[in-house]
Amino acid sequence: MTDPLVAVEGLVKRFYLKGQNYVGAINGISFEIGRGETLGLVGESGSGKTTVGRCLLRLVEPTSGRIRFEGSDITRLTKRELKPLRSRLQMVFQDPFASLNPRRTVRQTVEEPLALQRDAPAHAWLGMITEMLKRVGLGPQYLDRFPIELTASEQQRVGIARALITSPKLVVLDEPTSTLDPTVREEILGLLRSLQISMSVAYLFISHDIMAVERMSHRVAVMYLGHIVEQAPTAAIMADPRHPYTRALMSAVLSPDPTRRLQRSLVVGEIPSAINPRRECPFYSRCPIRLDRCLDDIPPMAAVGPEHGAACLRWRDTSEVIAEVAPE
Amino acid sequence: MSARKVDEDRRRQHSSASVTRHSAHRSVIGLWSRLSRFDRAVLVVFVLILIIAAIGPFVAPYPPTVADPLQRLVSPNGAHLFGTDENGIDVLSRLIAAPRTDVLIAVIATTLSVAIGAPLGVVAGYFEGADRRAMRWISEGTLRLLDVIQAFPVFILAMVLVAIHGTGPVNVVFAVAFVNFPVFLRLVRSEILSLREHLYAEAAVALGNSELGVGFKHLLPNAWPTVLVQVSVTIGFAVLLTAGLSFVGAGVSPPTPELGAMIASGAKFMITGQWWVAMFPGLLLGLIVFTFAAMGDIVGKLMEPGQRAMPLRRLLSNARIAPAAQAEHAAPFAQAAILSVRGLAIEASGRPPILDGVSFDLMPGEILGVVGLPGSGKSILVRAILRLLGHGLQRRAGHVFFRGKDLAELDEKALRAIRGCEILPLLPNAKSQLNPLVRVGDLMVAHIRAHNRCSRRQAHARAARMLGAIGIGDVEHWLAAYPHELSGGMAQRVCLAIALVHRPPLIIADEPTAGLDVTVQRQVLDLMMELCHQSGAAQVLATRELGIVAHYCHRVAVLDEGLIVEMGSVRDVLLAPRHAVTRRLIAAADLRAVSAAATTNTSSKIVP
Repeated sequence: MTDPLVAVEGLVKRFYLKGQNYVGAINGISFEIGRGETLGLVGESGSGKTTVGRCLLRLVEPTSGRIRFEGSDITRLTKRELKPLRSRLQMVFQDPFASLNPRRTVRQTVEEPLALQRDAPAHAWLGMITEMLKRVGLGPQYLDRFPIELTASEQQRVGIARALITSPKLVVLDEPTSTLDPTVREEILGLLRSLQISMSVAYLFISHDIMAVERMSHRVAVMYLGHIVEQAPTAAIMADPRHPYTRALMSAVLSPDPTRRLQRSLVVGEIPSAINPRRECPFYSRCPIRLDRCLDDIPPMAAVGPEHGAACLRWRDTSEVIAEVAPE
Repeated sequence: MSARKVDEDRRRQHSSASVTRHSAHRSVIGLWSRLSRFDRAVLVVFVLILIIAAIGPFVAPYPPTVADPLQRLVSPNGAHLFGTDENGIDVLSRLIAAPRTDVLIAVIATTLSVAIGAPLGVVAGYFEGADRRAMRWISEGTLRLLDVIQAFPVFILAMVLVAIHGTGPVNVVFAVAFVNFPVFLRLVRSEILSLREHLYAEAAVALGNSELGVGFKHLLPNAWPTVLVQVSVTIGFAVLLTAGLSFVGAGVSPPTPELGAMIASGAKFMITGQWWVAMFPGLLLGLIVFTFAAMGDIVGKLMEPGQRAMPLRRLLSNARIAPAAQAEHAAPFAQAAILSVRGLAIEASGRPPILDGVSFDLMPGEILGVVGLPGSGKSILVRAILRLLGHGLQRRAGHVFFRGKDLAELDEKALRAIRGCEILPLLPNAKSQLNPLVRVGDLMVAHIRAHNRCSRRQAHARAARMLGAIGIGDVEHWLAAYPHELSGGMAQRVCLAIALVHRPPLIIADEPTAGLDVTVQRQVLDLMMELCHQSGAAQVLATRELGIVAHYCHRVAVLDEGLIVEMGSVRDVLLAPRHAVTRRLIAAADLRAVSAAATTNTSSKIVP
């Protein structure tokens, strides 16, 4: 990609425990996000996807690796140097109610980024807030309401308005719809998409819901146990997933169409502990098509197609092998 | 569809917000009515004390500081209700004038200790365990300093302070403030320590706030309710301290009317029979301290989140007729059905009904999915069947027949025998339902023995078999485990095992897989259905995921605003929905269809 907005190289985050033990939350991942583009980061709890978002905003300090934003390295900036960057790098949180201060009105909440950055004169703020609220579908009557007086949908709209009011270049969306009802989820996703087009903002869309990721993203990266196991343009990965974990995620989706046959669940068990990870395929313990040599090393990212990579030794014939071990 | 939805939401919201305003307004007026009789008495005395403290010296019947040697130590009579003291001053007049000194000193001192303690508390709390060493040291240092201050008995410390700086009201204020500020420092610190874990604190950092900005702008205001409660209690304590200092001669000295000094000067006359000089100030002191302490409780009660006007998620137009009344006389319960719900109506007192005449039958072994928009009453229905309502919800009408018995009319004891044995609830977030202090095995054994007569050993063996049946290996290890050692999926399986231990004929589930990962959700659902199939248990399954209904239920009921608007076999309802709400739910569940319609990119097809 020429001149990406964000380029992450070899990002590692370890949380150290007592003694020599550590939790390998992120074990060396690399990705890029272009301007105005959405990268979907999908994985289950414990995959480290949320930590990636936090590292990007430097809410947690990366252990090693490099994060470049608009061409400059932001991995080691001090808090003070980081501050002007905050207006271009924002975040929308998972739980809309919990992410709003219960004692601040909508107006105070959305105003805060403006007050902190002081790029615009104070007398212009109210107009900007009203305009932003209008864009997320809230009228001026909401200005003086408290979070508790809003529905979950409206709370998340306020969260989005707060993130977008400084016209950021990148917004990290950390599971913005996972606590919302499906009917509301659809609304919020649609809103985020239309805002992306009108404000030309890039998203890192973090979610456990592969359907939502498909709907939102230009490209998708699948995370498991701190590794990106597959990465490709959305259409390519949906049409031809090569990593068994990507397939497992897809097969676990429950379609609302009762006539569609339920796919067999491909994996059993749960994501293993991330404490002191070994150098082996992270998916080995749950993989339906594992081989002994998967234990030798972390599988390299194989080039499946243009911009499509899968970290699986059996990427060439995944679907055939899976069909053998797990017939319909 | 989304435009209509937004519209509808907004309308609904509008009404709900205006009602919230209204009830918030009402809550100010209705504040008095929410207090108990005792609380009201405390409030009245509190206000009286404040009034006396404000205007006391001006309304006293006699001048409170002018001696009259002719009237020395007169016992209580018509002219001097509480008698006079050794200087011949009317005790009642001095009592009326005294609170001004004590309460004023206490209020100023307490304000001062909050002003010093709260900011330090924010710093200590926010910097505790911080990345930067300097911050950690500030936090740590402050706390150790507190330990030193608090190691001294408060009263002695105050006496020493006054002794060093000399007596007089101003020095008493400083002494009292000094001994009390650690209270507020510690309180604010501990509040901040828990508040800083909130998501909005992290959001504030992400916006570019500095550490102190987050602490003071976002966290401290949320700590105020707790601080205010403590302020009231501390003022009471400060009054006592002021009086104590004056009593030993280290505080306010005569002739200024002050309770401690009055008690001190009257104490020596107790022996000679002139009890009134010391006793009335003593009683008043007790009353003031007690009132301020009790006020702390009242302030705390009024500030509880539950006491604030919480918006009811779903507030409907008032122009609703009540179909519940008609449904009540509809069909009697079906003989073959294991569960027959007839015209069930649930309401929160004085508000529009939440369930408004729900009726359905459930046959043995049948699985009924319950779906609906948020706030349509799904969870309430599930809880109403088991009579697990709370939060001021009541059954207004209707019956729930379980094997011919009306659960709605059953007494508590009979209901308990059915709950947990014949009807089992499965609720979301299994992990939080397990008592963290009880081992999994002990919990299961207790549950088995609650409804079965058997030895501990037999129960243990049965629990082990149950865990094996739900696919948990290394059974003995997990039986000895505490709930925090379980993952979410494991905890939900344990709950499932507990639910199925007595082979209940009916399971009532509310979002049983909420919060689980997709691959784990599938495993739990598959297991749940397999076990139910084996034991022939019927299920009512409320969920917001239509996908679960489509593949795991036989029939589905669509709830909207407390009514079943559509019910039928899963295929009929999901493939040929008749009601608008059903169509909306289907559209929302099928993101793929939406994305296909919304974008021209249709190349992405599911690969089977």
